Amino acid sequence: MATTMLPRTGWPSYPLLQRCLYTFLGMMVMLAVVFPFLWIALSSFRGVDEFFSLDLSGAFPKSLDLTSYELAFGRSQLTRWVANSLIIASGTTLLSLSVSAPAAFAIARLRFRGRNAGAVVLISSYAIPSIMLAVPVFVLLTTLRLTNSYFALILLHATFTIPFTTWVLQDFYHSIPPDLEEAGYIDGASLRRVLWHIILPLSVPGLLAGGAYSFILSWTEFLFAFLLVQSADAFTAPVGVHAYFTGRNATESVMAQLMAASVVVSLPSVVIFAYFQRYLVSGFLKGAVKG
Amino acid sequence: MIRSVPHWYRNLSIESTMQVAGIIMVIPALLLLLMLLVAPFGYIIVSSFIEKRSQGIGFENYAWLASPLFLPSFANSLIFGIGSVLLEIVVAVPLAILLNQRMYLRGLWRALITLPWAVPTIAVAAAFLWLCNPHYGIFNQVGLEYGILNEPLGFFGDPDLALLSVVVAHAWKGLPLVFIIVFAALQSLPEEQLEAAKVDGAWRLAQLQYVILPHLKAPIALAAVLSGAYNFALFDLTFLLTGGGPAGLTMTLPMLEYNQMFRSLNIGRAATIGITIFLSCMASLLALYVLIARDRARRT
Repeated sequence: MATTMLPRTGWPSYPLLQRCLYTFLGMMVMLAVVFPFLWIALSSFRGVDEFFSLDLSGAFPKSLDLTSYELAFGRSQLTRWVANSLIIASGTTLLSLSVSAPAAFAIARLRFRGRNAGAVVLISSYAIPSIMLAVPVFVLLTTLRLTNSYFALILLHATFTIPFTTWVLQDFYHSIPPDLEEAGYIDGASLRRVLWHIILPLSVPGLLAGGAYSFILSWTEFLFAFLLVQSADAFTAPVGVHAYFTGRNATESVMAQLMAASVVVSLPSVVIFAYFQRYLVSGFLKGAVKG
Repeated sequence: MIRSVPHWYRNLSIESTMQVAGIIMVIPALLLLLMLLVAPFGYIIVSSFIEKRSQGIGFENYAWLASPLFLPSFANSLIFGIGSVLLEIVVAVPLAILLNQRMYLRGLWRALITLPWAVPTIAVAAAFLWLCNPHYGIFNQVGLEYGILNEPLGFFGDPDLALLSVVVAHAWKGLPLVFIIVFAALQSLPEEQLEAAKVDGAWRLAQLQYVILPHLKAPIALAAVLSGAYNFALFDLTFLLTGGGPAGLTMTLPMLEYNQMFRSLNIGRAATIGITIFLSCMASLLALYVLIARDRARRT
């Protein structure tokens, strides 16, 4: 019985049709998921007069009107906030890569006592909720007069980027075949030379991907930046947008600027993500999922 | 970092070299993290035992957790955590199975579906507030135009809808993580297992029931706990969307902690709430660990 049913499994006779159907479904689902973001992007290009239209035909911008962007940049320090965010996110990325790359390599490749304990502490500290740290950190940094400083925010962002990049990178180092290293050792190279001349060049893609994620995590972070930065000069981009374009003080006419500012704030992380997401899907969490 | 490995390790055997190098390589990350986490941790534990008015040491702050302020917020946090995860799984699992089929431009669709992960919370909030705007939002406009709605919905301002709206926003932001975990698991499903099922004459549905879904059980549990704990403890999205309103209906534990800290200036209570959040997250992770361990024990 089972053998007679064989030809009927699936729809093997129309692979092309099936493929087109799936493509169509995939596209529809994608549109539904991306819609909220697509919609603010579309709305940000509406003219200021047509922004509040009660007519559906006004929902799609007729031309690319950049007035909202001009207003958003002109009436706030958006440029400065984006620059602040760039500095903080880059600083966080450099800091977390420089400490988590060696740690990740050691965890993935070297045999030493304390390895498991180190790995558990490093990676599981990602599970500590930011809001719990917020209270003591606020008190501490206020006492030390370190609010409004890039440095404090970089350190705080590192509390969640270090575990994350360590996780991603140790997964990456697991995927590098050990032959190259071994060849190095056999040729009499020291561990230091192997690290410097063999491992480091091989690490570039992993470092780029890990760096991209920690950049995104730091860039999109809101809570710490919101609590610890009080002066408008030191705002990060998300906090600045929140302070100037939302809240009780903001009238409805600021909505158009909020759309434009949201697009500006999202653009760097979205562009970086668009380039690096395939590493996220292929590498990230694979170790955890194998189960 | 690498340069700081001292030169004398050359004289050691390879094992002790690895021991020394391993510790040297792990230490900077570990020290930095511990430094940043241990002090705040200690501080929060100590201050949770200090009562604000009397400055005395005791369990007053913990006793306060029984107050009518705490329980509803705890319930709301649970609803956000569990509700958004259910929504994410219901959407992400079929989505991952769909995107695992042969289709054109698969990489592009996949990339765009994971995009919300990289959108800053402030932009997520702006997007949802604008979509759901009671006067000009597209949902209301389309709903009214096509007769689905009789009158515009308030979404985040509507007492009946606020909770649901916030859950949906959380689910949108959390979807990529769940999708990625499930998708990665699907990709690691051995082709032979599917082929074997095919040879046995299994229909698509049976394949799904007996091969694909059992394989996805552990990853789904992992994704559920990770994403649920994350949403449970998430401050910013609720803060930006509703600020806890209307009338405190969407108040969550992180929001309550924030209010106790910065509005009531009660560090002790805020610390106690922080510890509650932390313990809840740990409990869910522990439950996951036990589940996976038990599942593994049953299989072998």
